[in-house]
Amino acid sequence: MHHFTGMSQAEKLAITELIRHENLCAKKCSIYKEQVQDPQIKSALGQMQNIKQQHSNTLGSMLQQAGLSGGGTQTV
Amino acid sequence: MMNRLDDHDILADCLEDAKWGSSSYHMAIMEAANEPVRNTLLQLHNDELMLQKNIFEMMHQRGLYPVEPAARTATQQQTQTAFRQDQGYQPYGATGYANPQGTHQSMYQANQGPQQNMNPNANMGNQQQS
Repeated sequence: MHHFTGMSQAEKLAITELIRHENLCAKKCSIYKEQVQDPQIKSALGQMQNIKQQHSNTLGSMLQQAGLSGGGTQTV
Repeated sequence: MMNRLDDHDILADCLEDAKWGSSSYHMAIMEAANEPVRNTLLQLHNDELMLQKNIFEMMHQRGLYPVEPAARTATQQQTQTAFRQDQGYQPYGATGYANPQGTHQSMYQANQGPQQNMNPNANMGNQQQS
């Protein structure tokens, strides 16, 4: 199950930074979709928010599986 | 209201985020030393590129991201300059590095040159004698 054991420091730092980015994007999509007028853009923003959240979860689980506790870094 | 973001502002910000995210994933992949980490990052990077494409297309369809064709005169000049450079390009001069079969070589292969010319002192000796 631990596919990501032996993760390097450079990988950990990059993934942590990506989690921060994905979380911020998900939060912005959530706010933006309430503001847009165009229903197609609203729908696309909802999908983007889901993808961003999935990315954040995937990256967080990579850190967790590597024993580097990704849970704490997921909060913005 | 001046402070309110319109649809264009929102899509433009999402596009910037997608570009920044794509660059960040790219750098992370380049730093990845472990194959499973690299493969996962590659998948997420691909998602990011697809998001960027979708946002761009939404903007483009609505006229929010007009794309102008390249100026014809500039394109012609660049093509002609590149053609002239290509005609006059002889890597390492005409001494021994030309491909006698005339087959295509990659830049790496061309820079390696034939085995007999690998010794840099070989040509130096000839130049001293002449």
